[in-house]
Amino acid sequence: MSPRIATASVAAALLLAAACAPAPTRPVPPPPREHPPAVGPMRPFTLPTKRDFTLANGMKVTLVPFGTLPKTALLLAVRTANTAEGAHRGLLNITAELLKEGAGTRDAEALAQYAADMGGALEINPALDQTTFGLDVLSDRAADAIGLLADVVRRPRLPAAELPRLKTDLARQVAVARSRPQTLAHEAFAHLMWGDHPYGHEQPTEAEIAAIDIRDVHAFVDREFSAARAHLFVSGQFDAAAVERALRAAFGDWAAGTAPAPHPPTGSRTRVVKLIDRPGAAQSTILLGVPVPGPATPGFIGLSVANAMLGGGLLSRLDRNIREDKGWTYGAASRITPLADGVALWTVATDVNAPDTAPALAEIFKEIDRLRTEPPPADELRSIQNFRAGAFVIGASSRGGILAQLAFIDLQGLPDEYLTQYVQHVYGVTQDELRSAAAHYLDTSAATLVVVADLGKLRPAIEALPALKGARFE
Amino acid sequence: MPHPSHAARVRAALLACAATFATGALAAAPQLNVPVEYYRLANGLRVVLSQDAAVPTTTVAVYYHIGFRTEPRNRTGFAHLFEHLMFQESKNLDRGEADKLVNGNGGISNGSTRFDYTNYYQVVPSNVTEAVLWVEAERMRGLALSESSLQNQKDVVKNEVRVNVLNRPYGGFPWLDLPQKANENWYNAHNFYGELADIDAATLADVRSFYDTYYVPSNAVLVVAGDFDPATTRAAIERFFGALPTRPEPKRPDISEPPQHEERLTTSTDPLAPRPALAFGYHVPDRNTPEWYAFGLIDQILLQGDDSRLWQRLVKERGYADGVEGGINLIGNMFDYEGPTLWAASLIHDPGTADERIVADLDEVIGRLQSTPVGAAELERAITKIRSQLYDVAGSPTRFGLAELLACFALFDDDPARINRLESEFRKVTPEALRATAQRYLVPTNRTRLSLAAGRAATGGKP
Repeated sequence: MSPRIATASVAAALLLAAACAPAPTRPVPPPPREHPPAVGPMRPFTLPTKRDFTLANGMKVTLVPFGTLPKTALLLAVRTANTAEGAHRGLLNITAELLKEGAGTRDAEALAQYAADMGGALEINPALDQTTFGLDVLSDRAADAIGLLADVVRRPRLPAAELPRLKTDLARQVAVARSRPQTLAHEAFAHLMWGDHPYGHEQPTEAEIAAIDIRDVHAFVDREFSAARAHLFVSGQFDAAAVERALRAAFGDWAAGTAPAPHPPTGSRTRVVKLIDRPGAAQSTILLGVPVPGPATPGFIGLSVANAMLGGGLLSRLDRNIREDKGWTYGAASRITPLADGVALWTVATDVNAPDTAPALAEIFKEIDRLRTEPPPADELRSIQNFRAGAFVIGASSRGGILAQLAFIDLQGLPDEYLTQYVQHVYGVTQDELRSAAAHYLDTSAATLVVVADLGKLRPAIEALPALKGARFE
Repeated sequence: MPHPSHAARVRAALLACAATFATGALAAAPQLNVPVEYYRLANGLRVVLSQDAAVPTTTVAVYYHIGFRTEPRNRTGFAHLFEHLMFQESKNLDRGEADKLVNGNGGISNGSTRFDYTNYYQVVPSNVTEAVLWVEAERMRGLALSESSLQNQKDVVKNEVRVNVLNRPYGGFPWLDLPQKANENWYNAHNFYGELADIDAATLADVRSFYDTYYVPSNAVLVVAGDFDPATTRAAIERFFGALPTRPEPKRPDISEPPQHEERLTTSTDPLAPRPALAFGYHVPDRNTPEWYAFGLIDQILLQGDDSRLWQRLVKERGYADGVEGGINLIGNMFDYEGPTLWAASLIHDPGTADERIVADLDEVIGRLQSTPVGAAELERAITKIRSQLYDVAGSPTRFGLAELLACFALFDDDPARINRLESEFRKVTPEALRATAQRYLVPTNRTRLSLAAGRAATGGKP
């Protein structure tokens, strides 16, 4: 997986034409071969125009007319997250479910039917740094959809009678999630990486879920959902005047509320290894990572290109090596996950055939080291740059993609230029800048590693890896 | 073969609409109107072109009319293994060069294997269109697989099965397991992902025979959608694909399923699962019949979305589970298969919930559909949900869903333009026809139940 790359819009038209590249060169072996047709310059691509404004109560609005289909996507992003739960872990997840249990004049069933009548379904996504309310409807219902969103965040019924069922559901979801080796790896990794910060507790315990009270939910909603924390994004085909009227009527008198409490995370830079036993496991789950600076940092684009070269898809070195050469895995990926306060997390994740666990780890470390010590060949860099640029254009080619990218730069506090100049910056990364970014940031001597595996068979080989010499084994 | 997980199935739907839709003049129900140009080359290759230059990307997809249903009997999983092999070396391309041509020029590519087709698809910046067409023609005519590549991809595919099934709780539930229990005809009832021993047994001779039989122009369709010049593209297609020799279209075996006369109940234990689960499936009406369209609406009314009747009963009222997921054709949608399939759903529940209680609720919800005609508002809601999904298929940034419908309707029906008639077919369904369809098909004798016991009571591993 490659880093989350923002897409989206901005007033100015962005020309990607110059950005795209000639066909990669190819060695020509002895027998005469046919060659693919040459690849010409890319057709100019214009990001859609957006309009930003702020209501008197501080709520931000972004409207982006886009596309040829009669649908409208709405995304209401609210600055509250699992970090705001305090001691009540799981409270936001429960709250998100309770918000669907009726709002305004409608009970839960009527609310679901109302959304379906518009051709949509309400999706509430609690996350680490922001909670989003998504609704994608037929264009002629866009104004109604805004009213529905306002009902949900401003006039939720929060029926106490539904709380026990939703707590039972959450406990079951957690149990099911924790039966997957990837969840176990992430959970252990998060705790080692973030310690007692809320990021360090990915799944609530049964006791924490049981302790949630309806009064906690009311207090959370009253405190955490308010205009000054909210940003409504609208994209697709819509009647802009009608949408603006509807949103001013629906949200104009919403109380501004208070700013979210800061929860700056500090990631671990201790070289630590945790091995988790999963007897009989046919594969071993590997998760390796280190904190890195977020997208506002100069050099982040260079780091993101380095990351894509290492583990961003079919062309990446990890896939070419441990999948396409060795056959040890179905896939290996590295990614950068931007978090709050200028912090991001870089991780490598894969599931490898159990007998190949230690050799696979050795190859992963080898590939990271190679990226940090040798400037990449020019044609490989050009391929990765093209891949990133193409993904940017494809990502900006739907109303949902546009909203996701705009919400991303908003949350990260990035200027519009991050998007308008993204492709240009990708192509600006040099061979040595890439190596240098990898050397500086992808520091495996400060990394956290979790392996979920059949340790009865594999522990000695993992512990004996030269790359792990000197690491603290948890 | 992407894993259609319990909670995250992608439901494709279809369609696009005319680009004549202007803000400020939002009509109530705009006409769906995907441009469709359809023709065949002299060697039998079907070609579908659908131009839409709104964004400068092009989607190119080749669908071969060979899926895992009809793979060789002693080679379970072979159709899917073969899909992997098509990304390896060919006459004019070394290993990795096709990926580099597509992805290294800004594209996204993949392939997948389903009941009745295997597909290869990519979305690229539109300047790469001709190069991608060349790549697809190259692998249609010149696969040149080495023994080492075959061995490598056997290993990769076995690791795919491990990560998606063997080391994953609820891994084959119910998408792999249910068809094996609900069907009698081997073509419909074998392990499509493949037994690891069968994957290991594949030889280069198997590969050659399969390739020569099924990967021929007369058994394939090429779809080009998005930003391209029609005349230039037609010429490039003729240049790259037109020279391929004419080969006979392979015969399809009998994939029909005998009528079911008795409910099938099966149980199994998942050693990795922490909670029990229940799945149920019913054989659906033959595709493209009036009953089949009625069943598409029944699916919307009973199962799709949290407004649906089963969601309201099983999740909201009873609290058996946090969701109930399913649909027509668990690994795809109601449009992308040919032959028998199931309407199926599943839920993960707690140990204290007996399957019989869940099934009693299921039967009661179905009984109401069989006894009382659906009201006008609910019927309209079902059609609205389908229409909204169809727009999303056409509006997807990859157009993969659009290419899929055009390809399937060309391969299965010789009529890709029927994409534009789907909504009107759904609109013909009357409440009475819907009730009659429910009465005929949603009966216990047409049902298979799969009860999954939780083999792992405790959660997690130990440090």
